[in-house]
This record gives sequence, structure tokens and C-alpha cells, in this order.
Amino acid sequence: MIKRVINQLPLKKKVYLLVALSAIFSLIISISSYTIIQQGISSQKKFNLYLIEKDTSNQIYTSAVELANQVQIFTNKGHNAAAETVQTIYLDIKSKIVSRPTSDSGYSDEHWESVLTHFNNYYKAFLSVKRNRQIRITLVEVKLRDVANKVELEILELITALNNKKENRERKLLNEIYIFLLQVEKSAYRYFDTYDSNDLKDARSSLIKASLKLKELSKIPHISNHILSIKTHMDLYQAVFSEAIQRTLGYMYLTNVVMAAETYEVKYLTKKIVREIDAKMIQLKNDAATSMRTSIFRLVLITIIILALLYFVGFRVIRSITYPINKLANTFLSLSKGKTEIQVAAHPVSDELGQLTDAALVFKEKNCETEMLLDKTNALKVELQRSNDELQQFVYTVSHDLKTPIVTTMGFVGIAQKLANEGKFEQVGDKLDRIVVANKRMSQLIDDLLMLSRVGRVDLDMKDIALEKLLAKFKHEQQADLDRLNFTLKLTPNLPTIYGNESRILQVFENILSNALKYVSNNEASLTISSTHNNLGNYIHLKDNGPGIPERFHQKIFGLFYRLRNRSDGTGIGLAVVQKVMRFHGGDVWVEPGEDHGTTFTLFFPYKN
Amino acid sequence: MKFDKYRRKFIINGARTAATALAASALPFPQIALGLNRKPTIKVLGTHVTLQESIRKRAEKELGINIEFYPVGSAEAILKASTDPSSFDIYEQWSNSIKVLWRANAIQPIEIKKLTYWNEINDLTKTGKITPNAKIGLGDAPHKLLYIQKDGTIGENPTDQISFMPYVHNTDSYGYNSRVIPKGEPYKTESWGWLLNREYRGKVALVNAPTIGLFDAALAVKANGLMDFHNMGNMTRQEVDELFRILIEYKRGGQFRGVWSSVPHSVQLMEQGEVIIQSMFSPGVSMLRGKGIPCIYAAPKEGYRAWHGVMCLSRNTKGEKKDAAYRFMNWWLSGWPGAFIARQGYYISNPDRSKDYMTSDEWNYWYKGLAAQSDLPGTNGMNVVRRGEMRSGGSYWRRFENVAIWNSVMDTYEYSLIKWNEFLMS
Repeated sequence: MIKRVINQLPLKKKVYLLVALSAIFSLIISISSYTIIQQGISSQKKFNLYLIEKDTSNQIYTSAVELANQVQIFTNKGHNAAAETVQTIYLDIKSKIVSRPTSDSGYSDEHWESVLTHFNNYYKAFLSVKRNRQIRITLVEVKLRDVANKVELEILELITALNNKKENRERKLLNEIYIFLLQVEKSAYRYFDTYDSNDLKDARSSLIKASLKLKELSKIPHISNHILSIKTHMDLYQAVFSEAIQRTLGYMYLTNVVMAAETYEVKYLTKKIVREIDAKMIQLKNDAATSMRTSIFRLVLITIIILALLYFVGFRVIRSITYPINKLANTFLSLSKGKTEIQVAAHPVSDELGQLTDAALVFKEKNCETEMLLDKTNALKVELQRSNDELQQFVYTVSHDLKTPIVTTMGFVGIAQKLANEGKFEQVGDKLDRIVVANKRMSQLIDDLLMLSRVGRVDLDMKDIALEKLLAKFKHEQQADLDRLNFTLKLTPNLPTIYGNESRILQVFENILSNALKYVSNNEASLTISSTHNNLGNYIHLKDNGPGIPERFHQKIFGLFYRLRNRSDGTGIGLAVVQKVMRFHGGDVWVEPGEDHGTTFTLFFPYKN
Repeated sequence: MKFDKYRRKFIINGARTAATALAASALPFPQIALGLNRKPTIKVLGTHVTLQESIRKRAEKELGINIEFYPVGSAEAILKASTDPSSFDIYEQWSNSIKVLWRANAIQPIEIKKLTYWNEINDLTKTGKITPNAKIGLGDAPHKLLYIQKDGTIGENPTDQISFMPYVHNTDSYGYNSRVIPKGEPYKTESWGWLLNREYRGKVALVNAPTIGLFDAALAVKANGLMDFHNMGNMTRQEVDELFRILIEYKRGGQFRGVWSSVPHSVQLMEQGEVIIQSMFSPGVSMLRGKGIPCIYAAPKEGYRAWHGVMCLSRNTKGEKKDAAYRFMNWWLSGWPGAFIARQGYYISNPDRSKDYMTSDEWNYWYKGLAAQSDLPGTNGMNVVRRGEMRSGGSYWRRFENVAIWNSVMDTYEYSLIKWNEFLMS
């Protein structure tokens, strides 16, 4: 396919194709290289973003720890600076999360939003802690102390006021209440300091006891107003105490449960993010290395394929140029040596090589013409030589054979003259007859020679001849003579049609038949005409059952005036005519060798075309 | 009911008359006219478990009062209620908050005679035993906190006054993903001890509440024979120390993924595969199953951790608000609300009254613990139970016969908070 396409291209286009392919392939290799480099840069960028995200996560983890520390300082010591630091760290974390670079690390924003949510919850809880702490401080350090002092002072004042001896019981009860209240205060403050529920229990127990004693006192009419006032303050004391406890519990719940859990989640999530980023980074690193290896392998493969392709196409293109050039060079070299039997490869395209091919063809044509002329000349030369030889032989033969009747005639003329001089006229007559015979023979010789000379000169009427039909007619015409001589002419069926001059062809068969008749040696003489053929032409075989011709005479019998037996009444020209007629038809005649009895003449007629 | 209709009609007509008069003659004192149109408004403080919009709307419609719900987190609810009784009229939370509220004098006694369905309330809250053979769980069993004693304290001796109206309650345990953990046999192989199974290392979570999660952990520690308690419902400091020593050791060994602070968080943890076993609440289990995660709510052989909802009356609630509050409390036991929360897996204290508001299939599934004959809807109308499913742990009665412990505020509560922090930070 490629070869066919390339061969269809003109020389210039082939060169352009080669240049264009080189350019395209170079471009492909360049693009591939660029893609690999870009891939590497992209991986590196991604890697850097991972690093930044990991760093952000680590910073947030550290911030979460610092945040917890600052909250701890605030909750333990109440330093406002610590609370401010908590706010600063929180805002910083929030800003870091919001403005973090997107690394496409496989984390949806959900992860970071979750971290932010936990921080928000944490900070919200912290604000609540801050409020609760303030309220708790007010309650524990101010209100509770104030109320306690007020109740205690009121009781002490009442004890002082009750100076009557009869009021010992009231004083005693009030003292007990006072002691219970002191125990309440002591246990309460211990509780707020240690968060030990036993202290709380003690405080509550003392408070109940104080209330019961107060209830007892309230039944004494003259101090009921004082007791009512004390009770009111004690109720307030209890309310403040309860609120302080709840604020403390709430405060503790927020710091120890809510905020601790949020801190834990933040730390867990940031650690998890770091772990997963690490895994992603390793994955990316491995992927990048694998991808780079694959890409480089692909690039090398592409380069090899492209170079192979380039080599293949280039080889084809160059070969499509050099091969015809080399071939043409060899052709021209051969042509210059006059060779004609060389193949000039066809060049399908009309380009410079096409023109050279055309020139080579012209060159070859000229060489062929030259060679043909030379062949012709040689043939003519051979023919001339043969003709000369024939002429020489002819002259010799003619002069010899024509001389024989003349010599005979002259001999008989001399004898006749002598006999006439001797008056033996009767014998002269006999000698004159002999002279006539001799002259007739010479006349026959001359006629035959004339006929021989005419072969090929006046035979212009060439046509297809159905031998079967022609020979059937020939047989019919000869039948009387054949019957007389008791000679059988056998025609085998399916004799071919040949191309030639009918009268000459008929002459060939007449001469061969005549020849056979002359040399009949038995009573059952025959001539059988059959045919064969091959790719060159038809072969007509004429086989008689005569005495046969020794092989040494097989060529000679076609010579002029050559006769196997002198007593034969032939002129010795018949077979020469046969040969000349056959050669005139482009064919030939010969005697088949190896036959002991009979003779087989084979006539070769080449096919018409 | 007749009175309500008359009252509503009167209010509406009154409002129309007043509005017409106001528009026609621009009479002064519009506040009097508006006053005629005023419906009492009660404020309900509590958690998302019961403060649901569907309940509020239905109650408003049926009672003809305005109801404002203030759903907050557990800790915030108790803090707010105990320090500011004026912030609510009704407080809805769990029995473990009663001691705090009562001591803080934030709530007032509830008169039993004003509770329409008091006699229908079963013995779980009244005596602590849902059936005669049931065991009473450790800790603050609700019946121990129910009655207001003569001395003003709260206790289990029946009186005419109670500290809370019993209503919603449930048994809790742990949930596990049966895709990962082979399904156990309820009450036989399922055990709290699974929470400390080393095979589930890193995939375990507890609820972030010392009055709840602490007991899950304690039950797990005990089930594994790591320690025993004199009274798990009220641990000593030494017991708390030992418990947290063990828990911290496990945590440092990577046993726990962490703690969860809300039901959606617990769902997220198991849905994302971060956790395969954890303390769970019933709605979380339903949500996970709705998402196609085969979460099994275990029936531990050691018994459940149970909780009981309490409905309390603010110390400051008086007059028509108090009446409205009582009506709201009675409405809760009137049937429909019990059926509504049953579809979330919760139980009501007078279940028979809710039966009429449920299909027999629903009743059989949610209360009798039988296999569902058809898909059953949740409170949002979406199917939460597939046909053929059976509630783990069996019937309501069987579950509450097997209560190991009740959510409780121990005497060492403050100390447990500090230790909880230590556990989280370790």
C-alpha cells in the first residue's frame, strides 16, 4: 500500500514527503516530551499543595493544643490575657482553614468544614465558659459571701440583742444555726475549690440543719419577725448557693466534656488529615514515578516507532528514487553496449525518472532496430551466401545435368552422321529418337528449373487451407493413376487447416506422392498422410512403405537434381521445390530418422500468427 | 372540651368585635381588646428527643394554646433550668436531671390529682418493676426520684405529689455493624464487653456524656471481668479512678475512635466506616438502617442502660400558664403523642392509650417485639422498618425486665467529669 502510494508520487513530492514526515515526527516527539515535562511539573505542584495542606493541618493541630492550654490557663487562673489569646488563636485557625489552598487531596471541603465546625463549637462553648466563669465568680466570691455574711451578721446581732437570761434557748439555737452556717460556708468554699461532692453533701446537710433550727425558732413569737428576715436571707443564700453549684457544674461540663470532646475531634481529624495527606503524597510520589517511567517508556517507544516508521518510509522513498536510478543507470549502461534483451522497468509517474525511463525505452527501441537491421543484414548475408552457394551448385548442376543430354545428343548426332555417311539410315532413325529423348529430358529439366525459380516470387495468394478437403480432392484427381499402380493413398481424419498458397501446397503433396510412386517396390504400396501439432504449429506426416532412405541422404535428397537412383525418370528437382515451398511458408520439411522401412516426410506449418 | 370550644369561639368573636370597633371608631385601649384574644403561652425547655415540631403543632391545635419549644443540648438544658426557672414553664429531659433541679429549687411539685391518666401509668416508674419478676436497674431508677416526701426531699414512698410526670422512656445499648461484626444472639452472646474487644480496635465510640457513656464503659469493663463495682450506679472515687485507668489504657492502645456528641454524629461515624460498634440511641439506629447500614441494636446479656424522660413544672409557673402546662402534660399521655414517639422507637408510660393510634402491625412490632408484617413508617412518613424485621431485644416488657442500670448523676459526678476530660485528652 505504502509502496504503491510512494511509487505514485513524483520525485519532488517524495522529497517533500520525507521532509514533512521528519518534521511531523519531530513535532510528535517534542509534544510527547513536553507532555511528560508538564506531567512532572503538575505532580510537583500537587505535591507542593499537599505539603502546604499538611503544614496547615499540623499548624492547626498545634494551635488546637495551644488553644486548649490557654483555655486551661483561663479556667484555672482566670487570666483575661489567656482568654484574649484563645480568641486570637481561634480567629487565626478560622482564617487558616478558610484561606487554605485547595490541593485536590481527595478531601472534600467536608473534612475541613468538620474541623471548623468543631472549632466553632469549641469556641462557642468557651464563650459560654467565660460567661459562666464570670457569673460563678460573682456568685461564689461576691454574692454567696455577701449573703452568708448578711445571714451570719443578722444572727449574731440577734444573739447580742437577746440578753435576757430567759432567752438562753433562743441564743443556743441561734448559735447552733450560726455554727451550721459557718459549716455551710466552709464546706461550700471547699467544694468550689476541690469539687468534692462530699463537701457539697456536708454543706447541704448543714444548711438543712440550720433551716430546721430556724423553723424551731420561728415558733417563738417575740423574735418571729427577726427569724422571718433571717429565713428570707437564708432562702436567698440557698438559691445563690444552688446557682453557684449549677454554674460550677455547667462550667465543668463545658470544659471537661464538651470542649474536651471538641478538642479531641479536632486533634483526631487534623491528625487524620495529615495521615491521609501523607498517604496521598506517597501515592502521588509513586504514581508520579510510575507515570514518569511509563511516560519515558512511551516516549522511547514512540521515538523508536517513529524512527522505525521514518526509516521505513524514508527507505521506501529513497529506494523509490535510487532503485529506478540505479536500474536506469544499469539499463543505460547495457543500452550503451547495444543490448536489447533488457527490461526497462516501467515508471508509473511522469517525473524526471519517468522521463529517463522513456528515454531508456527509446534507446532500447533504437537498439532493437539496430539489432534487427544487423540480424537482417546477417540473414541477408547468410542468404546471400546460401544463394551464392546454391547458385554455384545450380550452375554446376545445371551445367552438368544440362551438359549430359547435350553430350548424349552430340554423341548420337556424331553416330547418326557416321551412320548416315555409312548409309545406315535405319540406324540413324534410332539414334535420332535417342536424341529426341535426350532433348525432351533437357526440356523437362528446364521446365522444372523454371518452376523452382518461380517459387516465392509469384505466390501472393495466401489463405487458410483445409487440408482434409484439399487432399481429398487431390486423392480423387490422382485416383486413376493410383489405381493403375495399385497404390493406396490413405488420409487420416482430422487433418488441420493451414495457412499458405494452395497451389504450392498441392505441389508439395504432388511431388512427395510422385516421389513415392517412383520408388514403389511392392504391390501394396501406400502413402499415409497424418498430422500432429504442438505450440509451434502443425506437423503433416507423409509415410510410405517404400524401400526407405538411408539417413545419410536425408539432407541430400532436398538438393537440386539429386536422385537416389539414376534409373529413376525424375529430374531431381521435386524435393528441392518441396523444401523451397515449405521454407517460403515459414515452415520446413525433413525426413524422419530411424525408419528401416519406408520413408516419412514431415511438413511443418507454423501457426498463422 | 365543650368549655374549650366555647372559649375559642368567644375569643374569636371577641377579637372580631374588638377589631371592628377599633377600625370603626378608633377607640382607645386596644390592649384590652387584644387581651381578649390572648391564648396562654407556655415555654418548653428540653432536648430534641421530644421537642419536635410535629408534636408542638399538634398540641397547639388540640389544646388551643401557644407552645414555644426551646430545644437545646442536655447540659445546656439542665444548666438553664437549674439556674433560671423563669426561662421555662415545662422542662423535658431525663430522670438523671431531677436531683439537680429539685435541689436547685427550680421545679415545683406536680399534683397527682391533676394528672388525668395517672392511673394508667405503668409500674415501671411507680415501683421500679414493669413486671413482678423484673429486676430494678442500678443508679437513679426513676421510681426512686418520683415522689415528693414529707420532708421535702424526693424518694420512692408514694405521696400525692411527684417531682416529674413520667412519659417517654427507652432502653439503650450499643449498636454494631453486622456487615463487619458477626450477628450475636440477643441476651445470650451480645455483651457490653464487645466494646473492649481488641478485634474492633480503633472502631469503637462512646457517647460523650459521663452520666451515660461512663456506664456503657463500666458495663463493658465489668463484662470483661476487668473490675467490679460495689454499686455501679454510684461509684466511689477509687472505682472511678480504676475505671478510667482501664479506659485510658485501652484508649492509648487505640481501642477508641473517640466519642460522639449528637445522634447525627454517631450516624456519620458508622456510616463512614470509622466506627463499627458504639453506644447508640434508638433514632440513630433507625437512621442507619434507613441508609441501608445493617446496624443492630444489641440486647446485651448484662442488661440495658435505661433512661426515663421527665416532664417537670417550673417553680415560677403559675395561674393560667400552670393550667396550660398541666393540660400539655395530660395531652402527652392522651394517646397520639405516645404513638408518634413509638415510631421513633421510644415507649410511653401508658402504652395502652397509644395502641388506638397505632396499627396492629405497628403495635406488634414496636411494643410486642414481633416481626413487622409490612413496611412501617417513621415519624416523617418514610419507611424505617422493612417487612419481616424484628425489633432487637423483644417486647417492651422484656426489655424493661432487663435493665442493668439507669442513666444517673452519681455522687462522684464532678470527679467523673474531670476524669472524663483526662480520658478524652489521653
